[in-house]
Amino acid sequence: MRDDPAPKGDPRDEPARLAGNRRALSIAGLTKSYGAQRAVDEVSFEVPAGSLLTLLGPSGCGKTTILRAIAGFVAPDAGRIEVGGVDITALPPERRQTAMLFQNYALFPHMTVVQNVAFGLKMRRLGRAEIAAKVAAALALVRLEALAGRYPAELSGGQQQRAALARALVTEPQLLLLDEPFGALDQNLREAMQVELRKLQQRLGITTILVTHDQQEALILSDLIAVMNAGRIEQLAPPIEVYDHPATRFVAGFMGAANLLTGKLLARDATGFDLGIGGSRLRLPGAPPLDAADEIAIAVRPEAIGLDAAPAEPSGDGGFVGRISFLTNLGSRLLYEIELAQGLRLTVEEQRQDKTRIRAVGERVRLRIDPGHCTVLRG
Amino acid sequence: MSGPARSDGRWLALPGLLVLGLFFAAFIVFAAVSLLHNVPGTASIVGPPSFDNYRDVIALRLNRDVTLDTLLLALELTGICVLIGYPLAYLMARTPSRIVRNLILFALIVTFLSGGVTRAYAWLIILGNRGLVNTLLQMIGLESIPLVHNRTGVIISLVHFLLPFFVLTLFGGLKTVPAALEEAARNLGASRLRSFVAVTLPLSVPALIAAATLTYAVALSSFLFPALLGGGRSPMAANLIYQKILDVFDIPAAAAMAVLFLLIALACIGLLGQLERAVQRRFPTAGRRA
Repeated sequence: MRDDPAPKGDPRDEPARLAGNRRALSIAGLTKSYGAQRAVDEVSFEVPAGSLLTLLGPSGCGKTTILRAIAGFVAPDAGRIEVGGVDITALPPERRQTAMLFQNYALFPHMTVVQNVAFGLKMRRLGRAEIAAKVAAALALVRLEALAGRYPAELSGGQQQRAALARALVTEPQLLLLDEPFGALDQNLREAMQVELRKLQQRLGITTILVTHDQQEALILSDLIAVMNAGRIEQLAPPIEVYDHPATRFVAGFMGAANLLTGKLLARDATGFDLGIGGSRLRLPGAPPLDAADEIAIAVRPEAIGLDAAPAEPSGDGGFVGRISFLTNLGSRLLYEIELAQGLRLTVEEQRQDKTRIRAVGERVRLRIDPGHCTVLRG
Repeated sequence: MSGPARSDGRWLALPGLLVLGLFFAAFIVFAAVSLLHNVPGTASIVGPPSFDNYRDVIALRLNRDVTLDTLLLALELTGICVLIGYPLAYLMARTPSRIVRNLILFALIVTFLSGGVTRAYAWLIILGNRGLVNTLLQMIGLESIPLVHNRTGVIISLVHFLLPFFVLTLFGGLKTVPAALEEAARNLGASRLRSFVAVTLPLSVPALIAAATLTYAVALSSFLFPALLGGGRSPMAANLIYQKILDVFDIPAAAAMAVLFLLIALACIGLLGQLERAVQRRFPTAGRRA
């Protein structure tokens, strides 16, 4: 690099230079069927430039098909894919400015790390000196300079992922596509890599689509989460919103650990409505959903329920009273499983500190459900 | 696997080893016969042992020509199999359609179910002077071309015979090259062709050489198709040895030819093995997943 007059190999310049490549992604009416199965069913969404959107859902929900359609490996039956306002739907994969991080990294096993990272630049017919400078910068970005001469099989899982990331980023793509990138890593490494990737993504400001079935991962990494089910997006919102206020029963279930309660509409007035849940009464603010002819489902986060000592005798005031049937001590948190008189089973989470009294299994408790933290679900 | 289980496994190999040993002993006896002499006009064999047969076999120009021709023909056949077989194996390994894969597989191995002689006669019917191909040519007003009792007939029938060995061996190797690698190459800006040339082709070279070596070895030992479709005009080494035994009854001379040809064939295959090892060194991780 000594013969290179401009110090463009300096890794600290890299983020600023890559950030100039920010593009928004827009998907409209994307549809893809395999046989009679609609893998993706008229999906539309927008990702602002520089944001990270996660397609979250169980396997077979269509998330990977969308990612592969953006990369050009799947030809959609209908719909448009636009990057920075330019329609790329009909372009072959090699003409799209997308960089994909594959599930098992797909590093070329017969090439060294340097050769792997240089591959995309060679395909773009850059000069030798320019390739060397860019490869060095990309390797510095993922702190892999020392292993540049190794073959992929000689790297650990985390190093392989960093090499794949360098290979993807070195071409200065408009979009970064991540296909379950942490699945092959063990738990500790996974969390470290997630944080590292998120920092890098924010520093470079590169528009990114992440596909995962891991809700924890989605919460850590995302600006926006699109929860998918059966080829459709059930909810698209910032992580906190999806976590606190799941829109549908599916989202509440998939985001994990929420208590689902169903009840009948008993009364309504200007400030709220009453829900009858198995003989107990819960008053919620706002208006009930319009189509609430029959049953209304609500989600309550375990941490939104408080526990009090229950009165010795049933008070008959319609409160939620039950018995602790199981206790999980997670150190900083306590998870109580409560069996209610109505036969319902709820999970309640308490923060634990030194002086927190740990309730015993079998103890009778009265539940304080905070109406402000209940979310009425559709569907 | 634990230690005791492994030593138990050794005994399971015993029947197979016995059979192999028997075959090898038979060949050693046959090889030893090459040192004796045939009494002309009879099938009896007498001593004393000498290398005279070897001297005579090597001295005869026909033997040298046929041996060289066999080595070259086997090479030619292997080359044709590579050109036809690679795309077939590639298609089989990469097609998402199970039907396409099974159709190719079926077309490749269905003729294995009929005997070699049946197949040879089928080729005679197709390629003969009044066969299907020439009848068609004449119907559209073209000259008929001689396709049997010459080298062409031998090559066509042998390629058909050898193709399954080549394609199935290569298919096994190509399947271990993940399709995601080609997608990664295309994602990085390589066209379909370039991603094949830069990624899949080099990674399949070890399997390619293994498949070609097998094909070459099988081609060297060809006997039936040169005999039936060559009409004696394109004999290979095995046909010459056969003639020595059944036409001249000179078993010691035939044995000497067989031993010599075996050594030459082993040398050629050993050479291919060296090539394979050299390639493995060049691509230390080829075939392994990243």
